[in-house]
Amino acid sequence: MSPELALILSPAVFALLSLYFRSGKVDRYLIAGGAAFHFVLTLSTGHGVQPAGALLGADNLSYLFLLILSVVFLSTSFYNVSFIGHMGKESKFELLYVPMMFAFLSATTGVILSRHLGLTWIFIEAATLASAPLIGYYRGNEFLEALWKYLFICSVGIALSFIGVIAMVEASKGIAAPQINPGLNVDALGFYAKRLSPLWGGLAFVFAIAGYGTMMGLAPMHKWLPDTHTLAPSPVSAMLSGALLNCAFLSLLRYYQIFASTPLIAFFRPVLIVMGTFSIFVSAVYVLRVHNFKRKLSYSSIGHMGILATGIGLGGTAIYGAMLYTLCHCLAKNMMFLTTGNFSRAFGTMTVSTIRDGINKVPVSSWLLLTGVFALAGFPPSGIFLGQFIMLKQMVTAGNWFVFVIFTTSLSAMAYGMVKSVVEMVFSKHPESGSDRIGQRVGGRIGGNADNRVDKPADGNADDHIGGRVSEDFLSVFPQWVLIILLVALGLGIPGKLNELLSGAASLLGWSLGGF
Amino acid sequence: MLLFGGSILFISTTSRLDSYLKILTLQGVLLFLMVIGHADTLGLLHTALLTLQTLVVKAIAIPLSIYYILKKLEIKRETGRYIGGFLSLVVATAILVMSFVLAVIMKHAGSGVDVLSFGVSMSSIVYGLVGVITRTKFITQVMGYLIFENGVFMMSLALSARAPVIVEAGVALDVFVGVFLIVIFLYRIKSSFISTPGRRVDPLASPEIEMLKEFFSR
Repeated sequence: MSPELALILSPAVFALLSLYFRSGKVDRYLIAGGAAFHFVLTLSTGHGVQPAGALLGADNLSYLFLLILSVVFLSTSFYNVSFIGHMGKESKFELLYVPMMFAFLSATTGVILSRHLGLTWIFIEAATLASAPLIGYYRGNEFLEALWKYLFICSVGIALSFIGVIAMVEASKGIAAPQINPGLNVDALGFYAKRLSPLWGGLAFVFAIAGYGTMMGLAPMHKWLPDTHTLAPSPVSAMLSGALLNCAFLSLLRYYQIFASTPLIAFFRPVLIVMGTFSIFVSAVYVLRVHNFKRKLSYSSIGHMGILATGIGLGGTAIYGAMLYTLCHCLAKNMMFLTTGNFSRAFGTMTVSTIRDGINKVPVSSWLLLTGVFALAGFPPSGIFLGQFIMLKQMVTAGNWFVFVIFTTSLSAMAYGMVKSVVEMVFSKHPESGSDRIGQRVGGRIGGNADNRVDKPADGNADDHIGGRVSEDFLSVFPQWVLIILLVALGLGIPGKLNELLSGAASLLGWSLGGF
Repeated sequence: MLLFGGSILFISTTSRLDSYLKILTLQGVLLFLMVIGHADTLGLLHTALLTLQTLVVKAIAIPLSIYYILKKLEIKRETGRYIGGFLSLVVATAILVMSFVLAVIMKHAGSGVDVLSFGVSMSSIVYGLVGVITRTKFITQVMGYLIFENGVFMMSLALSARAPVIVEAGVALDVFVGVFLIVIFLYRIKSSFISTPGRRVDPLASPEIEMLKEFFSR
């Protein structure tokens, strides 16, 4: 069996095993084992130029995304080991949780490895369906609403991107000759890109932006993302923003890759820039306004997807920056969402104004959150800073001052909003009186204010912890430290092999200069 | 094909859900006839598969399950639309006209589309999207999505009959419809709660729902 196929199928095997044993204890070993297996397989998978007509395979671009997925899943899984333990304690153990995690992993791996536009589309749909039960893990109206929004808006997006696939079939009509049958193979389409019909090709790209842009959460179609990411359990949010958004981005990049060498790309770039900057702007506005910390994180995800779209739209060195940025953002966002899970377990809520004195209650997580938010906001010794800096450099050299201004001001606003709320949560010494908090939680129950109930539907347990320290498992903080160390290391210097991978990925997208 | 266009106009005027359902069934049958019409390009195997998909799934299974849900939840008339019947008809006509204009433009740009099929499927897609946006109830949103999806299917049939696997991949969209219906049925959602902030209503205000609520909050 080829390693690619093994990568896609092995999670399915683990899912079946978990379904067979039906026990939380076994699940904990399975999820850690499955993740480690996937990671090892990923490392041993070769990458490079793929033989023509291959259905599955990893070129530099997809290998980069595969690596991200594998690392993100590995850290989430170690966290999950502790999460599943808590599930058992709260007698809310969900049989489908681990199998669906694996199904999601399998589908996202499929998206990344597939070299056929139609196959990519099918895997995207599978990933969406697999993540639905994970999002609907907690029962209740708000959670159902979030689930419905997610499924419905994404299904419309997926249908739109299907029109993109159809238009691509039509565009490739001009290539088809007795000897050549490109089908929808990315490499073949890219090779014959100049012979694609520009009209249908343009249509395909527009629908792909509309469809996959919806899945990515680009600004006018982002409405589902904050609800979903806020109300899903923290490890699931971490996977969604670390894996699902990336997969949608990669699917969009495939279209970009095909047209990278044609004159059409000049029309697509402004579209990407406009949508990207708009997303950044929207997310900056909302990060300052919303009160729930997880919601802030999800809006910042929208902004970061906007940054990626802008980077790709700018072209040139910014593409390299965007590749580096994808990697670092996923690590940072994954780490933040996982840490958020510790906070919501300790406090029973994620509303910033009700979380106080974190440094004494959950010291390790507090330090994590504090370091993480600086890394995420793009302060210097972090890979995120480097990625943003490369993009800004490209804006200046290309004279894109308008984008430059929006980009910098929005990012500063976003950084201010995030850092401020974290500092409040961690250091502020004035906890609101207990009765207020209970009042708010009861209010949340009646009024349907979902934000107060994240990760721990109100059942009164939170009061047990008031005043005292809450124990933190080793596994619920360890993966985040590793991620932070990785992020800082990436900010200090990029190892040669990774640099090769990043520039290889960027050159597939039309970047022609040497290393950075 | 013309009937399909007419069905869009008709669906915009009615507010009775059972006539909606009839139209959806009719659309399914029409799609089936179109598959038969394309049989010579598709080949036997793919024709059989697509027949199964259109006739069994689109024309029988989905309408039946919607009918079952409507009966269980005792919904007859549609309420909570943002735009009224007449305006809706005007919108549908405008969409139809604009889609045909677009189709003619595309043809003149040398894309070689069939004006009729492209126009009708495009208008179905756009009308379905408008339907999804202007409806507030789950079940009617799903119906809007079905119209949208039928349009997508028709377009895929018209454009890529050469690559039937792609057309068949469209059945994956029906899976979504199935999931929607299951969600609606499992949670017995009568009303809506996807609404603008000022219009929030308690969706689960009925005795049996209270019971379920109790069950879930335990």
